[in-house]
Formats: sequence, C-alpha cells, structure tokens
Amino acid sequence: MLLIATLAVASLIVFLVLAVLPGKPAEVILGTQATPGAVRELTDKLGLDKPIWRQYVDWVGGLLSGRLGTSYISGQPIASELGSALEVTGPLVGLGLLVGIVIAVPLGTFSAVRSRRASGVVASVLNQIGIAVPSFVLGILLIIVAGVELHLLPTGGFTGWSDPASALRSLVLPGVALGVVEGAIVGRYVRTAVLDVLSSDYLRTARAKGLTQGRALVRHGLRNVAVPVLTVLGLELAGLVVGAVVVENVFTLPGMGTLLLQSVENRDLIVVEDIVLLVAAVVLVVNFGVDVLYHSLDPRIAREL
Amino acid sequence: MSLLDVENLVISSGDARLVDGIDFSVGAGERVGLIGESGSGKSLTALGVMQLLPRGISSTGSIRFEDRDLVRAPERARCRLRGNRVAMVFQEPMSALNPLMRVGKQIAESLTVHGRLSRSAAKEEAARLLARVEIRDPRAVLRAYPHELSGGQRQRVVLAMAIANHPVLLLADEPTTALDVTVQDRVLRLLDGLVREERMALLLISHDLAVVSGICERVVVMYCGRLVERAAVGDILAHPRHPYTAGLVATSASLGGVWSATARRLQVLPTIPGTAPGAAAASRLSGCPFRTRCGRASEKCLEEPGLEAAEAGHDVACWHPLPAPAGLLRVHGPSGPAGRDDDVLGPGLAGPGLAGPGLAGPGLAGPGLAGPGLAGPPAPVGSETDGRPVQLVASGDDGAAPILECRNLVKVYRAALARQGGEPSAGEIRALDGVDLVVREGDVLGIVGESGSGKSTLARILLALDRPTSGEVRFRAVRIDDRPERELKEMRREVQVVFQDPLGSLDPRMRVSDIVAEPLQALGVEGDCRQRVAELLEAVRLPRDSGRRYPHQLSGGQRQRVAIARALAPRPNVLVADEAVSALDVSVRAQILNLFAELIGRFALSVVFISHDMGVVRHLCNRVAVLYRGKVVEEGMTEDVLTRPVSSYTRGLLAATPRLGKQVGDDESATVGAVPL
Amino acid sequence: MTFLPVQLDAITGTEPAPDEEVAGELSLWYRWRHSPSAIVGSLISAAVIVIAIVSLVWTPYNPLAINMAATFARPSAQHLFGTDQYGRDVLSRLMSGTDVTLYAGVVSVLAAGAIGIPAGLYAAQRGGVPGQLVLRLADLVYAFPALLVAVVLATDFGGSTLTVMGAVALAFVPVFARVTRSGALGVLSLEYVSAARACGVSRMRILRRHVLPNIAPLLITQMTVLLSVAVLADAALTYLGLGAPPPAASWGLMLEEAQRYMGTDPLLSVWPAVTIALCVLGFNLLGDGLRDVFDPRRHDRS
Repeated sequence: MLLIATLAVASLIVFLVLAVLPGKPAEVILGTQATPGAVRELTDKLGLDKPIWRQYVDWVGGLLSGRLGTSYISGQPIASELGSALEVTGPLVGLGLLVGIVIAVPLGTFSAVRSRRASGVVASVLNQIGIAVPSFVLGILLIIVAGVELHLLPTGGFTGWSDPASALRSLVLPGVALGVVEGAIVGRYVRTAVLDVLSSDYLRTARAKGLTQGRALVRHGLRNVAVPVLTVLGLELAGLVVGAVVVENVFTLPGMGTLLLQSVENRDLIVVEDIVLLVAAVVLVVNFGVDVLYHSLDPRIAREL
Repeated sequence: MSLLDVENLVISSGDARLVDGIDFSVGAGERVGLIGESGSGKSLTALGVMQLLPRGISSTGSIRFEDRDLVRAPERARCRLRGNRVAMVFQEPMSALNPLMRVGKQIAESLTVHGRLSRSAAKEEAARLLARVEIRDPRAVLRAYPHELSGGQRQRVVLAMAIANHPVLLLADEPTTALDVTVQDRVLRLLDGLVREERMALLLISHDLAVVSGICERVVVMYCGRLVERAAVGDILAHPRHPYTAGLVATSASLGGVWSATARRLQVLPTIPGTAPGAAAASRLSGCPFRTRCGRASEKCLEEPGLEAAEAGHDVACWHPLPAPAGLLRVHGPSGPAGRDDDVLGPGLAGPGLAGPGLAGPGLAGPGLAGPGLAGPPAPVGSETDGRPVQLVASGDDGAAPILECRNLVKVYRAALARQGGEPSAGEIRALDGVDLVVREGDVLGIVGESGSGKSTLARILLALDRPTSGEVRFRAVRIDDRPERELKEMRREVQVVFQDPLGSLDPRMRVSDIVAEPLQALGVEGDCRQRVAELLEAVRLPRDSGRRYPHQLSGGQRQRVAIARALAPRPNVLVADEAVSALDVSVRAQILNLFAELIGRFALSVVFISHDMGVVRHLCNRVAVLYRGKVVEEGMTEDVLTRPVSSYTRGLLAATPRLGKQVGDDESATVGAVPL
Repeated sequence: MTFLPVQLDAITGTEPAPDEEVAGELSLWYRWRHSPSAIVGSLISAAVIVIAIVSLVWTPYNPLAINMAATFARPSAQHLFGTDQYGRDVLSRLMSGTDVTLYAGVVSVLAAGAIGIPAGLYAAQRGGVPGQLVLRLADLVYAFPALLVAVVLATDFGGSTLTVMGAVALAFVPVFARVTRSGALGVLSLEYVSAARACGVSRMRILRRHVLPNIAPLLITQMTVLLSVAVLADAALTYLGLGAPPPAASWGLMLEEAQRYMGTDPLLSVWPAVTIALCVLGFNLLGDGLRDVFDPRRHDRS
C-alpha cells in the first residue's frame, strides 16, 4: 500500500518537474526559428494543449496499460526503444551484480578473518582502493589496458543478441567495471558482518561446544552474515542501475543510459519522464523487496510485517 | 591430583597483564567460586581455561585439565575437550545463543559435534535435556527462536547445552547476573542440583559473594588480575585474611546479611575506600594492587606479596594479613547484620567521618515533619555513640503532608515498543495497572520490583517525563500529569532524579561543572553558580578539581556522585532514584548508599528509591512498596514488609534473595513457583 | 587491636580517578595516531585542500590557455604531466579542477546538511505522524539518485556546476536526515537527556546542548564520506555532459575529452582517472579513520 502511494507521489513529482517547469516543449523541439503555427500544431499533436492534470492522467494511464507513449523526436513508440535498450542494460546490471558478489564475499570474509595479519590488511587496502575508483574511471582504464594495449576484448559498441557470444564479449569489460566497485562497497559490509559474527557471544558458545573456528563460522556465521549483506546488496542494486547509465556511456553501449542522455540532449521530455520514473520505481520496489526479505530472514522482526 | 590445575596463568593484551600469574585448582566434583569485582580478570580466567579468549588476548602459564596442558595442547585436542569434558555457561543468555537458529538445533549441535549421537537421536535427547533443566514445554521450546524465550528459559537452554555431554567440569561465568532475583534463585537451585547429581566439578564466577557462598565449598578471590586469597567458604566468611576480602565480606554482609525484626536501618555501611584501578592501569602498578585502598598498607607493600598459606587450606597474598581470631564475624548469629559488629568495623568507623557540626543540614524540622523517628541531629556516627548505628532520617508518618502521590496510574504501551523489554507478547503491554502511592514529607519510599514490573515506567511518570494512559499524579496536591511543560517549572525544581547508569546519565561532552550547573541555568536559580557548584561537589565529596573533568575521566562511583550533585543543585525536596546503585560494584555501592543516607538527612529529602535489590531497599527506606506486573502487591513499613510479608510474591522475592551463608535451596518456605516463569 | 581497612568513605571521600595514562588512551589524538586510515586519509585530504587553495592564486600555466604548437606533449620539465589536444597544461588543469570539484562537493554537502540535519532532528524529536511523514519524504527523495536529479535539472536548465551541486545536494538530503534521526534517537533515549528534562531544560536547548554535540562526530564522519561521494558524482556527471560545459577545467570533462584520444595518448586519460581515484580515496579513508577515532569500539576491529 505504502509502496503504491509512494510510486504515485514519485510519478507526480517527475511529471510536474519535467512537464510543467521548462516552458513549452514544442518551441524547444522546433528550435528558435519555428513559426508560431508550427509550434501550435506540434503542441496539439503532442497533447500539450490539454490541462495539466489531464496530461498527467493520460501519462499515468498510459503507463499502467503498458503504453509508454511516443517519442517526441523519433516518433517511435517508447516501449520498443526502451525494450531494446533494456536488452543491454538488464544483462549488464546482472553481470555487474554477479561480479560484485564474486568479489565481495571472498574479499570481505578474508579481510575480516585475517584482520590481524598482514594479508588481511592488504585485502582491506585493496578493498578501499576498489571503492575509490569510480566505475567509469575503471572502465576507461580497462579500455586502455585490455582493449587498446592488449586487444583482448571489444571496448565499445554492441552487436545485439543475435550473436550471443559476441554480445556477451562486449558486455564483459563494462560488467567488470561496474561490478568491481559494487563488489568493493559490498565487501566492506561483508567484512563488518563477519567481524561482528567473529566477536559474537554465540560464536563463542558454539566453540565452547567443541566446534572448530571454521566450522562454527560456517554453521553459525553464514546466516548472520547473510542478513545484513543481502540488505546492502539490495540497496546497491539501485547503485548498479545508476552506474550502468554511466558505464554504458563509456563503452558506447545502446542501453537505457545512452537513451536517457540522448533524450536529455534532444529535450525528448516524455522519454526522460518514462525512464526517470522507471529507475525511481525500480529503486523503490527493490528497497521494498529488501525490506520484505530482511523481515523473512530474521525471525526477531518477522512479526512486525 | 586435581581435575583442573591452573598454574601461573597470565592473560595479556599487548603489554597489559590483565590476569597476572594466578594459581588455583578444582578437584573432581568440587565446587569452587571465583570472586571479583568488574575488571578483576575473573571472566578472562574462565575464558582462559576454555582457551576461548577474545582475539588479540593471549595466555601463558599452564592449565592442566585431566593431565593435559590446555595452553599447549593443539587446537584439535582442545576442541575434543570443549563441550565434552569441560563446558561453559555464559553471563548473557540472549547473546550467547544464535538469534537465527532454532533452540532445538542449537542443543542438538552440542550432541552431534562430538559424534556421540546421530541427528535424529540428538533431537530426542535435546528434548530430554530441556526437561532436565526444568523447562515446562520442551517440544515447544525446541522449535522456538531464542528471542521468543524469557531470560530464565534462555539460561536454562544454555545450561542444557553445557551439560549435554556430561562434562566433568562446568564453568559458569556470572550465570545469573542478567536475571531477576526470583529467576536467579531458581536457576541457581537448578545449577546446584545438576552439579551434585551429575557429580560435576563447578567453577562459579561471580561478583556476588552471597551467590557463591550459597553453592560453593571453596572460594578464590581476585583483585586487579591477581589472586589475593583462597580458602573454604566458611573460612572466608568467618575470618577473611586479606584486607580486600574483609572489606568485601563486611559490605556484602551488611547489605545481604541476616534479616530480622531488630535489624535497624540506616546504619552506616562499611565500605572499602576508593575504587579498583582499571585493568590496564593495574597491570602497570607494581607491588600489591590493593595498597592504595588499604588501611594496613606499609612500605613493604611496594613489593608484590606472594600467595602463602596463612593456615591449612587458607592462602593469602598480603604482607599484613588480618589475624584470624575465629568467630569474629557471626554471619549466622542472631544479632543482625554481622558487618555491624564493632570489632569488625574497628577504628575505621570511629574516625572523623560523618560527624561534624556543618553536617546538620538546614531545616530538617519542617512544620509537618514532627515525626517520632526524627532522631536529633543527623549523622553523629562519632565516638559518643560508639559506632552504634543511628537513624539519620525521619520516618514519614501518616500525619505528614503528602508531597508526591499518584492515583490509579495506568500506562499501556503498544507491543512494538514493549517488545524491547524482551518479553514476547502480542497486543498491548500494561506496564502499570492501577498504581496508588503516596510519598509524604520525610518519607524514604522504596519501590521494589523485577524487570517488567513497571518500576522504571512509574519513575518516569512520577517525574512527568512520560504521561500516564490514565490516572493522575499530584505534586503538593496539584495535578502534574496533564500539565504542559511550561507549567511544571516549580515541580521540576523540587523533584529531581538520579538514574541507574552512571555513564549514560552524564553527557560525555560536558565538563562536570557544566553538568552540575545545568539545572541551575535551566531553572534560573539565583545566586552565584560557580560557588553553588563548588558547594555541591563538596557535598557529594568529590575532589575540588573534578569540576574540570569529563565523565569518562571519572570512576563509576564518582560519576554517580556527579549525578547526585546535579540532582541536588536546585535544592529539591524530593529525589527519585531509579536503580541508582545497581550498576556499581559492591564496595562502591556501599559508599554511594552511605552518601545517600547522609544527604537525605542533611537536606531533609523525601525519596522514592526504586530498586530490584531487597537488601539495598531495606538499608535505606522506611517504607516499601512491592511492584509486580504493574500492580502494587504489598506496601508498608520496611520492617513489616520484610519480616512479615503478606503477599506470596513478596515472600518469594525475599526467599529468593541470596544472602551470605545461606545455602541455595536452604529456605524451603520459599514459595517457588509463585511467580509463573 | 584489629585494624581493618574498612572505613567510611566519608573519611577519605575521594576515589582515585582512572590514571592519566588510561585517560590518554581515550584521547582523540591517541586514536588518530593509531588509525592508519585516519593518517593516510588526513594527508591526502590535506594535500587536496592545499592544492585547491594554491590553484586559486597560482598554477604553472593558465589552465584554459590554448597552445596549438604544443599539443599532446609528453610529460617533461616544462609540462610535468604533459599537454592535451589543445596544448593546455594538464597539471594546471588538474589543479584548477581540484578547486572546482572541492567547491562543488563542499557546497552540496553543506547544503544537504542544512536541510537534512534539521529534518532528521525534527523527525527524531517529534515522532508520531509528523515524524513519520518526514521519514517517508526522505524515502521518496532517496528513490531519485543524484544522476536522475541531474538529468531532470539538466533537461530543465541545461548542464552546469550548479546542476551538479543541486543534484548531489538533493540526493544527500535523505542520507543526512536518516543518519541524524537515528543518531538523535539514540541520544534522546539516554538517561542524561531524561535527567536534563527533569531539570526543566527545554526541548530546543536539549537538542542544542546535548543532542547536536553528541551526534557531531557522526555527522562529521558522514560529511567526509559524502564529500568523497560528491567528488565521485561530480566527476561522473560532468563526464556525462550534465555538469560544467567545455572548456572548463573539470576532472570529469578532462576524462571525457581524453577518452577520444585514448588510442594516441592513453596517459591523458590516466591523469584525471588517478586524480579522481586518489581524491575519493583520501576523503573515504578520512571518513573511515574518523569513525575509528570517534568510536573506539569500532577502532578495535580495524
């Protein structure tokens, strides 16, 4: 219920800020040379002459029935443009998440368990550096090293899923660029969670039963680490979506981010509205999902929901 | 050959020696108590025996258990012993259990880890173990998560895990400190029974001499990481040889000794001056660590005393041990608290002390105060009274004017809030359920209750910090519960508070002088602020320069003195003290109680003293109200309530309170089970 | 005569305070010296700030001066980091970019704090429906990451440093609100606040005298961490063309331009990349270190 209300308010904000504030879109699209007649004609065509509340209802109604509207500029239905963009962005985010987890869990665990030894400190330092290098910077560095110098992998462009192997190849570097940073951020949380478990009384109890340190950690630590880490992972999914927008730009991938930035440049308001709302909705839904997950994993707060 | 032989055990963190070379042994089937105040290193010693020390803390020396040196044994071998031959029960049962794993699985794990039982057999055995630790519905508890259990049930579960494999040695680290008195009593009985039936050896770690004396045969006393005395329980209680132990025994005896109708209140408690230095500081201290607090200290004490036999089976580490005339301390004697004996208190009591003309505070004799109990000028604990205890305070009698009263007070919390109390229940919690109380001028009213009794809620409502759901609170006959804050100025000036946690009740970022001055500024009390702060610090006997310090630079007892000084700042007439001495170590607790007693007399305070501790309330209060589940189940003069309790709950509470020299389970008149678990 | 050490505390009255050495271990300075994060973080952050200040009055060359005679110069004594496609001195541009980045970061963090901290205090103090409303509002704003806000602002007003600052500030507001609220709730539940209330101290005064000073370490730490995020966001948004337009000497922009010449002069990309990473690392470490310094419980772990 709360989620739906929040989504409704979010859509209203997006609409108001984008559709009402910046003056007349038709003038912007046609440029300064446009005749008043042409402007009026385009305004009619886009439905911008209707009262604002009507425009909002039309827009939301369209969204709810799956009609995202038509791009002001290209005249293409936005649904199909967005659809093909998501074919790139979706797998990219998925790949980033995978890389992130693969990095975060071992790195965080290692630096926690070895926190009092040199190897653990080194892991911690690597982790810090990983957080400090933004994904697009890492992307550029990867292009220089893996692409330009070593010619290992494609450094940009996307050939489409008709050739899955080549499509995957072109997603590898962006996926790594995206995943390393997320992995480093989540890795810090894994480290904290593992340290918490290591210093917990219940781990001591488990060892007092005769379990070895390793076995106690696996049997009693896993779930206790999983609860906070999964929460962070969910929240970081939003970070991944945003990161994808930037990384797509680095690797010139025809994804949602590229579409968004193009539309900003072209003042293609309705596309911008749709994508902004889509991302905001994803963030809200993911946060909600994380909440549900959190409650179902931890019996202590299960009753609250 | 003992079962456990600890020799020259040193536990250190960096260069700080937190446990500094201690020796003791536990024989097969023997019950040994390890006594010490916070920071004495007693818990570390237990963890050292288990070789489960926190990260960054290491141990040297030798711990021989069943002919194996645990310090040098490979970890693999230690794992085979832990939970199998030697098991441990921890202080905090909530955090000792994995919050995300069902209780049954955690118990079964104890059984399967040593390969003794299959998984399915372990489940059956787990249910049997729960029945063994007297849990009523074992099947249901097996399926529960730890947070769904009460504190007592949790500790029983931990106990069940510990005895699962019939260990020969059980270590129990403050196993009942986190529990309520009545629950503590039942868990101690259970522990006592289990240890005897299973013929286990027990090492019981506690700060509470009464708890240890109720179960153990021998006692080992630790101070600042060092072992200062070890002997049979009877010897320790009857004639302690180390000055520290003697102080501890005297203090514990006077607060938790024998109760009788003739026991008089408000005698000055014997105390040990000062506080123990912190563990890190103590490890840098050369010589006897107790010498700074010791009346017998000499040049010789700059050298560290070794542990030597004072007599057979009684070892003490002191250059100037007390002589041992037997029968000095008549713990079992009929004449009231033993610590009161003149001989025991000796010249310490007859010192300059409390006496002095300046102490006869202003205006004890208010108009409505002409009580019969008003025993002349307060605090003449000087030579003329020969150290006989004297009542410092008027007992409020029914003729005095009510100063603070509440009628039919009800406070209901929604479950979401009440859940923090750890008690699982749905819907709403009635923290207070129709409470009527009257505090008259000159009253020192004790409110006794266990956790969940609503006593802290009551304090907050009396202080107008929370609003009751229904009912009314009156201050000098004027309702205050429905007044907005701005109309409470006068009441705020007159009613002040001292809380439990001496650190939590002082803002860590303010200097002591600013803390004490805060009410003066807030209430606009006239006069020279700096002068007043100096007076107040003087009144609570803090050193003159402590005003410049921050709370973290003070000891626990000093912090509580600051809190008291702040409460006294606006010259209040009523003081509400919520568990004001509960967080303090035994020896410091006595100091603060003496201060309370003195200040009550000096400033003619009416007091509401909230506590879970019968001994403390008996010592300080002239009237007692017993609170149970939001209701006052008994109220009356302290002597009457304590000696002739009417309600079964009060009887249970009194019987459950540990006393020096009282064996656990001794008192069969105890109404066990009067309180549902 | 028996002589027991059992005395009235009234006689001595004093207890020894924890000795000075122990008190010393509690000092911030002591903990700072023992936190590698704090030391390295402070050094890098200090260097960044000094460079930003120096660049205001002096850079080796004019960061905007075009010199078509010396394009793509390799690093040399004249141009330590070389020159770019227009022959502009890279070091000078990086230095002047420090100034811009830091300015944008500090302003957006302070602006976000100016809104978020009072909002968080209000939510903590009020509770109930108004408090919940503030929280929900924070959740809502949280659903719009800085990038989206920047996109929207750029659509309305075009890209500029102001756009970036506005977007980053707005995105940080809910972070401040949440951190402040949870910190303040913690302090408000402590007994010294109850004691202050029992002394008749007003709510505003409690917030000012007790709550704010006690959550200040938390907020300072948060600000430092957010400053590193702001640097990162500033670079990313400028890189995407949502920030300051060319020819501004901004790190993101330099990176964007250099990317086009990656094949011919990869070093041109490396300089701003390393600068951004180092700056983020510095503030991040400082934030981490401050957490160690202010919260000794966590200090034990690192």
